[in-house]
Amino acid sequence: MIPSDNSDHDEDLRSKLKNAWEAPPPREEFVAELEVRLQAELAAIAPLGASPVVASPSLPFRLFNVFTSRRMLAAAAIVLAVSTGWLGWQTSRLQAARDQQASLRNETATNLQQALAAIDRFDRAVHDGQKLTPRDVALMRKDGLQAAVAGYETLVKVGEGGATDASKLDLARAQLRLAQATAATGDKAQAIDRYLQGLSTLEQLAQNHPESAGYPDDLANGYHNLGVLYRDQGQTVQADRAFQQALNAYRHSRPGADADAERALRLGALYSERAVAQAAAGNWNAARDWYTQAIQTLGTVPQAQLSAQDSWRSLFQALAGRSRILAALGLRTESLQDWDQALELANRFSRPSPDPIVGPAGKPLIWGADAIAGAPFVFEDPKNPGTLIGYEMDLAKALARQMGRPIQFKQHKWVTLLQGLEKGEMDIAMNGVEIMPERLQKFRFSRPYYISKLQLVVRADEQRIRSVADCRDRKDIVIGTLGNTAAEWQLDRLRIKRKSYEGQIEPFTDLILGRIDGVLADLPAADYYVRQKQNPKVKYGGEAIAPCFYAIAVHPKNEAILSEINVALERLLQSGELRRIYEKWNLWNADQEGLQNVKDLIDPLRQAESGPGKQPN
Amino acid sequence: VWLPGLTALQSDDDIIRAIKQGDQDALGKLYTRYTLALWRFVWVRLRSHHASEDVVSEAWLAAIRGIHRYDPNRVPVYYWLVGIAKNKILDFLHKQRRGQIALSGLAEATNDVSHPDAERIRKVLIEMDDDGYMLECLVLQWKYLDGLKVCDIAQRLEKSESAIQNLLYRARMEFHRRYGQEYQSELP
Repeated sequence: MIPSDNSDHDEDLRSKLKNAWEAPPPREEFVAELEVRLQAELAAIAPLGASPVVASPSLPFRLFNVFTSRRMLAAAAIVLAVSTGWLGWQTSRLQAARDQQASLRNETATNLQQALAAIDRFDRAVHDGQKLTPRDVALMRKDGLQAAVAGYETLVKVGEGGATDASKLDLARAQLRLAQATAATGDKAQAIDRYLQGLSTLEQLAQNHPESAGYPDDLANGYHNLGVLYRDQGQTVQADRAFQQALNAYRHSRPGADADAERALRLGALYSERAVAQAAAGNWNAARDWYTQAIQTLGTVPQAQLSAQDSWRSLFQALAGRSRILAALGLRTESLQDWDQALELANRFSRPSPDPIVGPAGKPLIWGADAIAGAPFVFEDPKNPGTLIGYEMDLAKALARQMGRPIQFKQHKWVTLLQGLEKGEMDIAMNGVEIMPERLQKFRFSRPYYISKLQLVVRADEQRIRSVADCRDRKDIVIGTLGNTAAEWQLDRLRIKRKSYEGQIEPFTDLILGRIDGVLADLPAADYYVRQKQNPKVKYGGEAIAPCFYAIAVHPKNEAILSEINVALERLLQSGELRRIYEKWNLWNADQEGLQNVKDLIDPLRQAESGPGKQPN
Repeated sequence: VWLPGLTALQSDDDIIRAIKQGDQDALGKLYTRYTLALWRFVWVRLRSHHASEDVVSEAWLAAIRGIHRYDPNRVPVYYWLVGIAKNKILDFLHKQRRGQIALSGLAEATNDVSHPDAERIRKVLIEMDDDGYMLECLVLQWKYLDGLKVCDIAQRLEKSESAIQNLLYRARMEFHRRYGQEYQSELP
């Protein structure tokens, strides 16, 4: 309820406001001059101002904008093309015989293909011009394909006495293409549905025409893609079934439909996929058999073709995969043989890529590491602040020279380094990252570049602790360590009370201050803080334990980088440059002799046998 | 004679849209509609003709230069203009503190203030402005100083008349509440 204006009160308020607030008016000249200045200003900016987005146009304007947007125009073009074809077909149905209908249908299909090609060109043009994001382009593509499928469906429905095989094939192919585009937009569940629809139509066609080689070929491709989608979704059982169906379809396709080598490559890839699916399900023996089939099939591809099409990577992955499986089965010698073959293959065929594997050409590899976590890995030069030094910095420079591409350092907190790698914030992680069983499930690792051990460090006056074993099951002894490391894992495994830190330096500081009783650190770090710095307040607590391997980690999607890195590391090892780097930092020791010959290395995957990872059946 | 408020009745949004298209007449309308309000806003804070002219012209020029970035859906025109003016006043005071502007231009004689509580009322109004009651202060000005009718104010702000009645009611209540408190607090 609002009280009505009381004139007395109003008058009082008016009087108060007038006396207190009424400013002396501005000069008339000032007001007039300012208006002229503003008008001149507006005239000056008006041509520039025409282009920015005018906020919130009225509804008719918005509708107009929507109807004139490029996407709508493209969609309208498709609908127009389809409608035109349909209308033409309807007219001819009244006038011509069945053979004419068939030719018109072909014409419609051609129109549709042209419309799709036009959209493809449009996609590329828009994408090149960077006016839309790739996702926008993908959505446009999906819209276009949906319109195309709708057109085909209409044609099929209105066709006399049901669809012909040609229409059905077109429909199925359009559905498969739509599924592919849908997968590209990220909607994998929807893409799977589309694939199933297309494949169901194709299955029907293949049953009706067992003599045709084209249908099984399309089916094989479709099931292969479907399997990859299932695998990405984590549905391993369905993935394996799809790969199996793809293989069946290939077997039914007419021999010689593809060139032999091409066929072998596709079959080999499928065998590898089945092996991956079996391994994921824990069926190690079956996985080994499928890898073996893949290797045998891919082995029939001529060397020239392996090199020309970069197809050697499929064989490399099959060999590396079988090596992993054999290691898990405890067949160390066979595993190392496969690993050797894989490395030999990489040595023979890999070459510096003209285009970087990650990102556009010329973009450097991003190397993630923590320069604050501590020496001697990579750290700020105390004599020259702002400059990073360390043996990994020297190693990165050497790798960059070998790979023929720059490597750029990116600071990243150690404890979240691998999470950063998972999110794609860097291309490689190299920061004393140990190969550990649980990490193998998420990341791919290069060959080891350093063999480290864990060293216990205690205060100089410490009497209770002479080895790591003295700390087991002791409530009064706390050992500090860097978090998220093999050392942390070992302390837990040995039931030693621990305190984890985010940096390498803090545990040593706390040790000297008496807050903890020891530090379990990687040998390079322990050596740097105790021996090289000649710190009198601390000493080694017994012998170093538990060898572990430093390797460069990459995201599984970037596995292709690994072969380049492995070859570069191999060359650094053979040329002696790696040894020179370690000697410069006082890190060379007898253990590193093992790096010289890969056969003498303990296969990193052997750690999986003793670690908390999956055990073979 | 310059007569504020006597402009064709057109909503602020329409005027802004027209200015963005380069319409000089629309600019004239906006200028006429808000110049006095903006002038008062600046003058009661600086209390100097010279300084107010500088700040008001700078505020208007900044507003016109940035008009294409202004979205009427996000904030009413007066809020936007007052926001710019506030920044310009702060700039001015900053420069003045740094000695870049002579102090002589400020604190001119406040002329014919006859109401005994004029200073207190001014303080209350400035506080209302600063506390976000800008629209309430604007309608108080238009109603009681410029003599605009409720229907004219409603047209300008694209609101219903009852909404303006409500706004005026809230403005009066807020003013009296603050003025009363101010008065009470000064009692011995």
